[in-house]
Amino acid sequence: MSRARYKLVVDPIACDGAGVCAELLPEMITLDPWGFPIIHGDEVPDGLLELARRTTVSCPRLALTLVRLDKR
Amino acid sequence: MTVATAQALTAVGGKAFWFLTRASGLVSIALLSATIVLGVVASVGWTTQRWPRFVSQDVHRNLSLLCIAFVAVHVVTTVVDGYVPIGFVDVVLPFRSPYRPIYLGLGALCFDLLLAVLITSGLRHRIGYGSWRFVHWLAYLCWPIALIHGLGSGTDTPLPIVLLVEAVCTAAVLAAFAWRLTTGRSLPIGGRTAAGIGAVVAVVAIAGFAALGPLRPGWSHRSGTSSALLSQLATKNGTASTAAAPPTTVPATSGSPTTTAPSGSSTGSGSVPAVPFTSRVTGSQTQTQPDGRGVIQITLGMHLQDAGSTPLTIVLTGQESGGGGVSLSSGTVAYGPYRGTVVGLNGGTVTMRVAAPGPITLVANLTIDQQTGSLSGSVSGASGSTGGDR
Repeated sequence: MSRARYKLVVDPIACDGAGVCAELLPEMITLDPWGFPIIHGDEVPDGLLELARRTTVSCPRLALTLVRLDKR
Repeated sequence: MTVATAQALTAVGGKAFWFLTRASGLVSIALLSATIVLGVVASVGWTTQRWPRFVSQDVHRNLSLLCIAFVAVHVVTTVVDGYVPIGFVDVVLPFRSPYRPIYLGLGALCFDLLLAVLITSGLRHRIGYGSWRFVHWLAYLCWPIALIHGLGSGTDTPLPIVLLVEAVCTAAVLAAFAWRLTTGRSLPIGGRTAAGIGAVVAVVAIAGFAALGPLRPGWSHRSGTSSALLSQLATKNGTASTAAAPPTTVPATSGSPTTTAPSGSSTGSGSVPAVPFTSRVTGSQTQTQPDGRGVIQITLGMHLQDAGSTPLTIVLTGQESGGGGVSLSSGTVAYGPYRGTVVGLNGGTVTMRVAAPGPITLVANLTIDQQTGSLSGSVSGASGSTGGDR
């Protein structure tokens, strides 16, 4: 049985462009010219999963979430 | 000697929790202030290259947890200490403690608010952003409540270092609040103006309260005595007096808070021990019912264990405060045939100045059994009027 696979999703309504996510997870998130996040890649690699989880917790607007890719 | 040493150690050990309570309370308000300032820094979004935004957020969160830890120490030591009759229920249910109900109640209220903020922050993902933020705003309310609690019930309120810490905290939190109001665009301008005016009015009101209440001599005396002896005496009215000698032995109060000096007993009059000396004492405590104006007299009658069994009677006069507490305001002393006054009251230690006939200072370290009203301890005398350990 393989491990669960996740992707990062930004709620564009909730996000106010604080930029904390890009500070904490530059491997997968960069900011556009207005400070809003751009997610690079689809599935979060195993090695970044814990960091990604902590990044979602740190979002001041709770606009970043981890979503199961293989959810039935 | 060994008995005295053991007693001294017991006294320090018994007071350790009390000191811990006072210190952790002061540290808590400093940590709460720092938490608020960092919360504002994170919320406003101030960053530099070397201070990214997540640093403000994480330090804010960790400081708040540290603050909660100190508040926990503050609360637990207050209850465990037992000098003041505060139970675990009083910790969360405000305004029902028999001891200083208002100022202690504000502490309980603040504790409840902190718990609400802590729990909602832990469940932030479950309850959603809006609910979390609404409760999180209560942290701002928590701060002035904590400050009034500290000023009103703190034993150390008049100390310059304590006032300095509180002034610095106030300045920092006010500045942070102003910064938050001027940058927060999510609130209407009217609401922000009202909040700003409200904050300034609140701070001026708290400063006025401090100047008129805790910092005036009467209050500071009361605060200074709010440890062992006072709280031992601050029993529910009558508990101690019914068990001890009948209150008729106490000089009657004629409605006036100024008392006449107690009359010395006839035994041993004329001969008191030569100073310096230390003698063990035993005796009993009696307490009058409050008169029409709430004035209470507490009489500590005892005999020295010297050749003449010299009688020593201390009469403390005080005002009944809410919920059965007593705020002591003055004290007189009869020592053999001589008279004196109480000049210091700190825990179970009473410092007295007596003309016997030259000036001497008596220091009594007393332990009072609440159940029987009996008291025991030691009295030491020294020449001069500057002695004593207070």
